[in-house]
Formats: sequence, C-alpha cells, structure tokens
Amino acid sequence: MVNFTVDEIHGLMNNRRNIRNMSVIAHVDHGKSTLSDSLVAAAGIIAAAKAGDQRYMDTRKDEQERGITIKSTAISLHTTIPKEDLVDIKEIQEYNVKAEKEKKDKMTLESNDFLINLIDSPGHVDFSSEVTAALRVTDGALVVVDVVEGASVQTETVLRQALSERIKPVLCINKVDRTLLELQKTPEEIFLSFRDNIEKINVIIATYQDKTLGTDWQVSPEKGNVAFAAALQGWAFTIRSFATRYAQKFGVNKEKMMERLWGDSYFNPHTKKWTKNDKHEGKPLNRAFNQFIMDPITKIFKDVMGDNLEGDKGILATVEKLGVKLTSEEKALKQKPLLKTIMRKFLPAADAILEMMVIHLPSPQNAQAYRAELLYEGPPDDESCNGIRDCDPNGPLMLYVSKMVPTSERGRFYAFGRVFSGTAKSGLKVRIQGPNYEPGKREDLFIKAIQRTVLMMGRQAEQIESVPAGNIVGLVGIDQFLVKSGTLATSETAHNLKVMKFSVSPVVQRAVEVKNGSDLPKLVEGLKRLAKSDPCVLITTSESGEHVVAGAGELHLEICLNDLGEFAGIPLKISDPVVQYRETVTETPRDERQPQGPDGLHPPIYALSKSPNKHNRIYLHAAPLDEELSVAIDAGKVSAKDDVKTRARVLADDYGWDVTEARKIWAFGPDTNGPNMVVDTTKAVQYLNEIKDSVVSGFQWASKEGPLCEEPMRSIRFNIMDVTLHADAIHRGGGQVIPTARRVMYAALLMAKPNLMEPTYLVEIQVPETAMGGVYSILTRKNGQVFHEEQRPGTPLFTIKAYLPVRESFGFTTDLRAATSGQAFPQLVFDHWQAVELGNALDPTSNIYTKVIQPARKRKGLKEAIPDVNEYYDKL
Amino acid sequence: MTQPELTVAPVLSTNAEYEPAAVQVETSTLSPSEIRTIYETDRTVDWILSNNYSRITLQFPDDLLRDSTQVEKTLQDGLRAKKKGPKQPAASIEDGVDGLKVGDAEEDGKKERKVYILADTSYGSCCVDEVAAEHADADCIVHYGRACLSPTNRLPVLHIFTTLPLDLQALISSFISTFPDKSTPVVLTSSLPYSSHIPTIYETLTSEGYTSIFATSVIHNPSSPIPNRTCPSTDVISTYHILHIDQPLTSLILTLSTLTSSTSLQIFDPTANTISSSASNRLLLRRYALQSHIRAAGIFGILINTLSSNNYLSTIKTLQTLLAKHYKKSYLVTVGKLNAAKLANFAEVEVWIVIGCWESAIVDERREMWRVVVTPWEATVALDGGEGVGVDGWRGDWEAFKTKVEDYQALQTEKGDEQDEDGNGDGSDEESEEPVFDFRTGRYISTAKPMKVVKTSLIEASSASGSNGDSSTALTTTQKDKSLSVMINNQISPAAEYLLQKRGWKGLGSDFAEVEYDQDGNEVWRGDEGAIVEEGRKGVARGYNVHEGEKRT
Repeated sequence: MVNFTVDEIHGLMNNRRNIRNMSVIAHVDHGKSTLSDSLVAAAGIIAAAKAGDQRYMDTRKDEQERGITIKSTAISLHTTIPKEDLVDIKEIQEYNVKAEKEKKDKMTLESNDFLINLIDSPGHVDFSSEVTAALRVTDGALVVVDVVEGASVQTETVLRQALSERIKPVLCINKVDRTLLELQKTPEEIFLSFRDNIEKINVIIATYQDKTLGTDWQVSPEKGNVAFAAALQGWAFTIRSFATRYAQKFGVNKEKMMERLWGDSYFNPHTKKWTKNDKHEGKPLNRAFNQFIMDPITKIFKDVMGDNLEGDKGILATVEKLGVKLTSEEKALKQKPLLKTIMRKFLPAADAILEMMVIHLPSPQNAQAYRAELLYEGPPDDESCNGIRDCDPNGPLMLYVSKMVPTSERGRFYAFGRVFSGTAKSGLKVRIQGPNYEPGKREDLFIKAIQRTVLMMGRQAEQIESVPAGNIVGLVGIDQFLVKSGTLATSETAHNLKVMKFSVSPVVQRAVEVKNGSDLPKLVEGLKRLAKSDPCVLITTSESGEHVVAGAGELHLEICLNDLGEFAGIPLKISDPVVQYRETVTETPRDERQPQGPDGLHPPIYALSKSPNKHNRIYLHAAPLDEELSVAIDAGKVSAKDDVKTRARVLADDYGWDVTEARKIWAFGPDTNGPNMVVDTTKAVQYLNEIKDSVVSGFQWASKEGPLCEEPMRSIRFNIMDVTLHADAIHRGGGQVIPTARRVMYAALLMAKPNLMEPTYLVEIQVPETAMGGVYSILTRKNGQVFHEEQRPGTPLFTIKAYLPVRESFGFTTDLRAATSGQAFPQLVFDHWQAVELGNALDPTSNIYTKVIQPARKRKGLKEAIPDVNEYYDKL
Repeated sequence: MTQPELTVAPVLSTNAEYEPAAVQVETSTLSPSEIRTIYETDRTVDWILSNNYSRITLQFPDDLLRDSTQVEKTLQDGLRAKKKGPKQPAASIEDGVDGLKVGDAEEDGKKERKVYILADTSYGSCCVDEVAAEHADADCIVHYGRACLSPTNRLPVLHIFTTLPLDLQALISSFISTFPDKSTPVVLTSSLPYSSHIPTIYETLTSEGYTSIFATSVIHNPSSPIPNRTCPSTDVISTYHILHIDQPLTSLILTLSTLTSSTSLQIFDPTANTISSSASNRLLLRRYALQSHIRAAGIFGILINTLSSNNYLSTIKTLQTLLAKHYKKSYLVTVGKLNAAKLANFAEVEVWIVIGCWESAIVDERREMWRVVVTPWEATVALDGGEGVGVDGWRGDWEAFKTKVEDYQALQTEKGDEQDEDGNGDGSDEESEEPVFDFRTGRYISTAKPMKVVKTSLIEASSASGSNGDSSTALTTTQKDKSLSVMINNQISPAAEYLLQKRGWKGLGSDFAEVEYDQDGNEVWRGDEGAIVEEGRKGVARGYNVHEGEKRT
C-alpha cells in the first residue's frame, strides 16, 4: 500500500526547495489528529476508508483510549502538484520578483515531487511542551480551528509560540460539517462565522508577528492560505481549489477568480457581471462565496441527508456531473457514509491541504535564511551560522535534538531533531552539546559517533543512510548524552542552537516512593527514562531524599506517573500533589528616624551579619524586584549572559533602574539565571572584588532555599551596602564569606516583609449558558477570579476566563464536570506567579503560616517555627 | 553621570576595631561529694595506682570543662590520701593560655604524679585525643563524658561516662504504657551516661513480668550491631523493639533504625520523662539524598578527623583508590574540628568524606555546611554498591575497609593490563562515556569524572587514531585532547579548572579594575587585569630557592 519507498524519500531530501517541514497545531479536540489522518491516508500509509477514525498519529495506547494526543509524532509524506502550479509557489514568486529587480536569473523548480515532514502535536495545554519541541524543527504551522468553538486560549498560546520562532502559519477551519449538520446554518451564517474566525486568528498574528521580518503573515482565503475542512469526513477545500474549477468556466485567470470568490464580492446574474455591491435593484444578491462554493456543498448535504438520491434531480446524478465517480457499492450507501464518500471524492482533504502547504509554507532553504539568527546563539557570521542560513548540506553539521522518542528497545530512545546544516549520517563523529554547554568549557560536551539515522514514520522508524540539511531526522546512539534536547555539531567553534523556552512550567509536583525497598533501583531507572520521554517533566531528588516528579498540570503528571509505573514495572507510592512556592519580599524596610534622601524615602534598614571569625561584616538589604522584570528574566530576555552595558541600558530604559547600579549586578540566582539578583551598591570598598565570588556562591546557595520554608526565592534584589573585611586575605576567604553572605541574605529577607508567591493558572472554560451557575460556584469556592466572560456569537456557548491558584486546582476539573453535568470543559495553563494573599508570613497565627508554610516545613522535616531574624542578624 | 553627593555621614561607616569575642566563664556548681560520684574519682585513683601511672591526662568535653579543676583537685587529693602523703592543699591553679593546667605533686614522693587537663580536643570530644596527651608526655588518659569508644593504639584509656541521674519510676511507667504486652521483645539501651542504670531497669522490668527484655551492656566494640553494646544475635534482632534512653546521636538513630523496622525504635527523654518514637525515616532519606551528591560530584575532599583510630591510614588509601577507580579527584585535607567556615574555604571541593569515629556520621543534618559531608560508608555505597562494608552505616569499621583496599588494588592492576593490551596507553577513549544522570537536578553531568581523559575535540580524535602505538606522539595528543581540562605538571587538575572557569577574581591588583563613568555615562575601564604572575620562591622554609641556584634563608 505504501506508495513511496525510503529510497525515494532519500532522493527527495536533497531537493531542498521541495521540502516542507510543518506541524499541525491547535486547541484540544479541534481535529488535528483526524486531519493528519487524511493526509497520511493520501500518502497511502493507512487505508483511505479508515481515515478519520484511526488516528494514526496517536501511537500510544493511552492516546487511543483517551482520544487525545499526548506526544507529538512525525511522519514523512510524499506529494505532487501539477507542474503548471509550480509557478504559484509563493517563495518562488517572491524570489523571482527580487531576482528581477537585481537582474539575476529567475528560479524555476525542476521537480513537482514534494516531501512533506508533518508533525502532529497535542492540543491539551498540559502538553504544550511537545508543541514547542515540534515547532522548533519545523518551518510552517497548520493552525486548525474548530469553526464552532473558535480560537481559544491554547490556539493563541501555540500560535504565539510559532510566531516567536518565526514559523509561518496557514489556517484550516475545521468541522464545517458541524455547522451544516448539527447547527443547520445558512450559507451566509457560515460565511460570517468563517470570517469571524479568520479575523480572530489575524489579530493574534498581527500582535505576535515578528515585525522585523518585513513580510506579512496574515492569512486570508483569497490568498489561498485558509482551508475549510471537515476532517472527520475527509474533505477540505481552499478558495483556490474552487477557483481552479471556475476559472476556465468564466474565462478569467485563477488569481482574479480567487479574489472574487471571497469577501464582499457578488455575481449579478442579471447583468452577468461581478460587483462589490450586494444589492441589485433593491434585491439582495447572493454572495459569490455562498453561490459558488457553499450552495453546492449545502445541496449535497441536504440531498444525501434527505435521501434524495436517484433520478435526474437526485444527488447521484449531480455529483456525477461534478466529476465524482462512485462505484456501485458506494452508491448503495446512505446517509452519513454516503455523504462522506461523496465529499471525499468531490473535495479530497489531502489534495487541498497539501497543495496549500506546498504553495504557502516556506521550504527549509527559504526559512532558515531568516530563522538562522534566531536559532543560533553564536556570532552571525561563523561557519556554523552560515551553514544554517544557507541550509548547506556540505557545511558543518548543526543539528538540534528537540525531544526523545522511545524505541522498541527498552530504555533506549531515538533523538528526534532537525538537521539545520551539514548532513547527518551513521558513523559520523559529532560533538554533543547539552543545554548548559558553553564554548571553551568542558561542561555538557561529549564526543560520540551517530550509530544510525532513521526516518520517523509515525509508529515506525525506517533506516536511512543519511539526512541532509533541512530535514527531520531520528538518531540512534545519542540518547545517553542528552536528557531531552541539545545541539549536535561538527565545528569546533560551534555554539549551541538556542535552548527551547516552554510556555508551561512544571509547577505541580508529587513525590514518588517505592512500596518495597528492594525495588529502588528499578524506580531510579524508571525515573531516568521518564526524564527523557517528556520535554517538560522535571525529575529531581530533594535534599531530604525524596524523588520528585514535577509537571505542568494534573493531567500531565498523571500521564507521566502512569508512564513511570510502566517503565519501572513496580508498585509505587505517590504523594498528594504539592505546589512549588517562591519566597519573596514585599517592601524595603526603611528607617523612619533617618532623614529622607533626595528621592523622598528614608534610607533602608540594612541587615548585618558577621563572619564566623567576627572579622568580616556584610551589610545589605532586600528589595522587591519588578514582577515584570522577573518574567523577562524567566523568558531569557534579560539574562546573566547578556552584555553588561546593553543589559544596563535595558534595565534603565524599561524597568527604571539607575544605570550605574544596573551595571553592577553581580549575579542572578538561583542556578545563575533565576529571577533574583545581588547588586553591588557600595562605594569604594577595599578588597570587594576579592570576595565577589564568595558572596555570589552564598547568594546562589541562599536563593535556592529561602528561610521561610526552603523554597526558591523570586523577585528579590539584594543590595550590598557596605562590607568590612579583615586586612589579611586568609581571614576573608570563602570559608568566612560564603556562610556569612547566606546568613545576611536570610536576615535581609526576613526583615523585608517576606511573603510567598504561588503559581497561578489561567482557566478558560467553555460552557453553555444553562450550566454557568455551576461554573461560578466552583470558581468561587476555589478562589478563582473571573476576569472575562463572552458569548460565542451564534451559539449558546459562553467562554469564561479566570485566574485560579494552582494550589486550588487539584480536583478542579472533576468538580467542574460534576457541577455542570459534564458540560464545562476547562483548560488550565500556567500564567504567572502571584503573591499569596493570606496574611503575614511571619505571624504564626496567620492563614499563610498555618495553611502553607507550616505544612511545607513539616513535610521537609524542618523545625516548625520560621527561624527568627536574630539567628542571622548579628549585633554590631 | 556623577556620583550622588553624600549629604549626611553614611549610617554604617566602617569600624576598624574588633572587640574580642566574649568568653563565658562558668564555674562548677557541684559539691565535692557529687564530683566524687559523678566523676568516679575513687575508681580513677585505684586505676592509676594499680597501674602505677605517673603522668595522667584528663580529657573533658567542652560542656564539662567547668568541673575540670574540681575533678583534678579531688583526684590529687585522692592520690595523695591513698599514698598517705602529707595533707597539704593542692597547688594553686593557674590559667594557662593554652588551656593546659598543671597541678603538681608533692616533692617527697619518689615518683612524682602529674595530672594534666586537656581542655581543647583536636577533633571531637567523643574521641580520645592521644596526640594532645602525648604533648604532655602522658602515660595514660582519663576520658570523661560521651565516648565513641573507638579503639586506641598508643595509650591506655579509662573512660568515665559521668553517670547522670534518671527518674526510674517515670521510665518504668512509660515503658509499661508503651509496651503493654509483657512478652514484647525489647532491647534496652542508652547513652553512656545512663548505661549504669540499665541493670536496675532490667531487674525492675523483669519483676513487673516482662519476659523478653534484653539489657545491653557496654563493650568496646563500635562495630557491634549496636555500636559499643552487646546485642541479641543478628538473626532475631529484627523482631525486637528498641528502647533508647536519652536522645541518640543521628548516626545511632540511623544504625538502630536499620537494625529493626524504624517504627519500633522508641526514645525515652530523661528530661521530659516521656517515650516517643524517632523520626529516623527522615534521616534515612537524607542519607539517600547524600548518595546522589556523591555520584554527581567530581572533586572530593578526604577529611582526616581523627588521629587516634587504628587503621585510618589504610582507610585513606582505600578511599583514594575507590575515588580514582571512578575517575574522581580526591584531595587529602585536615582541618581539625570541622565547621562550615573551614570547609567553605575549599570552594572547589564538592563532597567531603570524613574519616572519623562512628559518631561523626552525617554531621550536616541542619545543612549549615556549604557542601555535603559524608562518611566513607556512604561514599562506598554510592559508588560501589557497598559490598563488604556492612549494610547499615558507618561505624569506624576500619578492618572492612582494609580488606577492600586490596580488592581495589587488584582491580586497578587488572585494568592497567587491559589498557596495555589495547595498545592505547593513555587510557583515553575515542568517544565519551555515558554521563552520569544527576538525580538532584534531573540533568546529565559531564563533570562527575574529571580524571577520565576524554576527547573534547573532533580534530584531535581523528589525528590520535592515526598515531596509535607511537608513544611519544600519543603523549602529545593526549595533552591536546585535554585542552579543555586544566593541567598542572602534566596532571589534570579539576580544582585548577574550577578556579579558572568559575572564579571571577583574577588575583591581587584586579581590585584596581574599577569601572568609572565619564560625564556622558560611558564606562571607562581602568587597569582591568590582575597583577602579572611571576615565578616566586620554591622549597621549604628552611631555605627557599629564590632564583636558579641561588639560595636564601
């Protein structure tokens, strides 16, 4: 059944202009996997009849059972378009326009065979990290939107991510059959809802599109980059597919026809003329889109569902005229099966969508030219970056591994990634650079030969001898060196390809224990495998010896722990979910007795700690950091690696810092990149540089485990005011300064009205009006804050958006389903960190202490009371 | 931009004077008769006289130091009384700077008996400080207070456990309420100061009708299943409950809770007179966490924290071989009594292994240390799966370690042979080895085996494969391969690498690399490099080599 071979694909891989790497992204249940099925069916991998039911791309058992995609899956497809359509390919057109200006040779494509590397990604927010991993290796995105539900929070999240990676979107409006069958809408209503959906997507694109790129990535049907589909029935069309049909009939060219078939364009049957006017002598005209596209489709639907089959007026005769040939067996079908057969033959989904992708999505050759600077961390003119920009199969190898895919062999993985430059082949020795690799250092750098290269084909992997730049690849023999992702290079000077930033963070955690002590090695092995198999899950061991699995949400954790159980194959004890908190400060302590400074504020009260030998003292105070700045640090927009001067400028311009102080940031922490800082605000202190490393070490130590309940710190700025040091170097060494720096930071934190921050979800709930009461009562009970409520036009559905503390989210989905008899579907996605508003953290009777701090301290085996500031603060 | 003017004097101006740390002087509150019973002076005197020791040292833990002069006085009196010497009062006591106090004996005795007080111990007060005693040229030591009873090899020791009072009635009644079933098998044990009460408790409990009580007695064997105590046979111990009088040391909790299930360890608190179960599970987990530190670490400090234990030299050797086998770097360090400040001076060391007595296990329970501190036991278990070193924790079991060193050496030679057969004498691999998964962070780390020669460059890898067999080129390529490791005298030095890569401070003089701002706010760097390194003096203090051939004293 397979209509192409690995050898053929290998041949196609070298033809870089004829490759399209794309991912299918959308909200959960908008029909990505089903749509992918249609495409896979067209390539002959699964029987066409089963397309739409099989969900070929859902390779796991739990995916099939739950009916949701959990892992992103890649497959390579082969397609052809008519030779005469080759000139319509957008990037060729653009190239030729430019070539004409520069008096260069125009480009024409030799071959009309195309290789499409398609990645189906999960739609549930909890698995967004899989989408990120998929986007990184592709250049284009097929955004699927349910015509009834419209673009929702997850659509926006993934589309935003795609745009920030400079991945070009095309749109597919799905489930058109629902509007016809369930909602019985008129063609005009359908047109309006199409237009509404497209507008919403365009708003998102306009907001997040990279303006520096200079091209407009808005989608519109008349350009042909919007498809309308009913994936379950296996049909789809673009304006272009109808324009091709009608162009000949009306004797105009295709482009003109496409413009006429969308928007406020009408065919006046009386004058036989096209017009922009929707009235003819006071009578309304039928919109061209409706007349030429929706009406025929509606008629087929009506006739088939109304069993008007036989005879001249019967549907079977009509479709025959449309060029749809049915076998006698198919003619015996009725109702939906017949409808599906006719529509699939009339408007095959794969044809329309594959054609749209070939024409509108960029080839790697084109895309890498503008993505290179964004992908590569190193200088834009070194050999590796040039190789990426030119998509050069003979350049130095640059390959990004974005995730690990389990193989049939227990515990081993394929490293899944994209060759950006050079050619990956078996036996090639490569430098494996993990996410923490820095040029010139040994950390996270390994040398290893690629054992084999494979082509990822859904559930199978086909061996292939080599994979040149611009293609997606699976590697064997690399998995033991990378936990999740990393860069493979052959150039000695190669920097890393930029590490992926996920839109979700692992904020919910559960501790895992074995029931039986002797099973521990199996758990450890299982944890290692789990860490690899998911791009987002975080496996850690706390200092108190617990194995902790952290995930993005309840569902994500559940899936991960199921996997863990399977990997380890032993009974496990799993703790209740626990939220990670952050320790922060809310205000700078001020000394009211001192005169106000020029800024109108009293001078801050400094914390003081003495070193163990009492000969060194550090004075500093803690101040809250702008949450906005912390977010920027989290996102890597402001980081420790930045050039000091540029960073200082950004801090001064965007966050109101004093530029002198902004240049004296000693460190970020924890882990040298967290959202806390030590800033040197001293004036002319002797030996200060000498203790800088020790203070920074102390700061990294302190910011990892705060004094309240040993949670990491967030949004704290420690300003070193003064330092008194012993004159002999030996008495001001690390031993004296590191513990002292930690203590003084603890003291400063405790003096600056400490508080905890908690992760907060953005909840989006779609619910019919009748069940809204239930939603509100649950949200109120769970301390949710509703900030948006909107009715979807033309439907009884309401969209409610609210903030919900992650702490309250456990069991939220279940409660919500129960309270609305299953009518409400919530999506929870981590949104921001928020202060816990439960009183003063230091007051042992406050809610925050009894409900959050005390249980956390108990769990960690700490003394019950928060240490008093005097344990860290030394008297002068 | 100009610096903001100071309108007022800074609140915190630098004060150059340092007041000395306040010394708290406590005086003894015990009456002479109490001293005699608690410190068992009569027994001590008998022991001294029967063995005819002439120079006697008394070792006190810090918290008992306040009684030291009284004890010394009582002992002197005792010795004199027994010898029926003249009844002069003891010589006045002077405050020695170094804490040594000398009481002198009488001139008329043929043999002068001198008693010294050792006021400061080098490592831990539980260990007998033979070295300090030898400074006083002593021929015996009397050790007071809690003791780890590690065997000594130089001087005879008398341990006085300083018996503390115990409310027997309270203990018995809470015992009965904790173990209502009179056939429950219970092991009775206690801290040393309470050990003299054990026989009495045993008798009382037996008379109450308990049938399966096991009363421990003190033995000098830290590697007994219950350290320094007798114990029921190992096959049945797991069926016993354990009652420990006084809060046990964390190392003891760990040992006891691995002997039997952790829930059946009960602790009697003599100050509150209550029995509670211990929180040993938390400690076991903490110890488990420490092991992941060990696996992930590349640089180890072997810390000598004892001088009196037998065989500590062989343990050092074992550890060094163990670490070398796993391509980890080890440094041998001795700092005296450990504290956070001393250890943090060696910022590059990732894990400290303390060679000390069994009581020193897991000293960092409060995590005040900059880097974790473990015992040889944890290190062996973490790296080698712990074969042959017992299953339940560190207890100064030097003998077991001694046999291990032989195994390692055998293994090391075997490995050497293999490498020679490969004809690849430099022991480096063409390809990197599988990295270690660090369970603390969930990442792979490449720094866990710093002593493993790894190729970090593709170019060298290909050229090296061409020059197989030629020893001279092999040597140079090896050096190039290590280009990213820092070499000192042709040895990989991970600590030097740490200093090079993680340290921002470039030495004296770089302090002057001040950033200043001109009027437009542009940075002006002044003197951005540290002082130029010059070759300094070499040799020992007795006679440095200043320049080639020249000598200076």
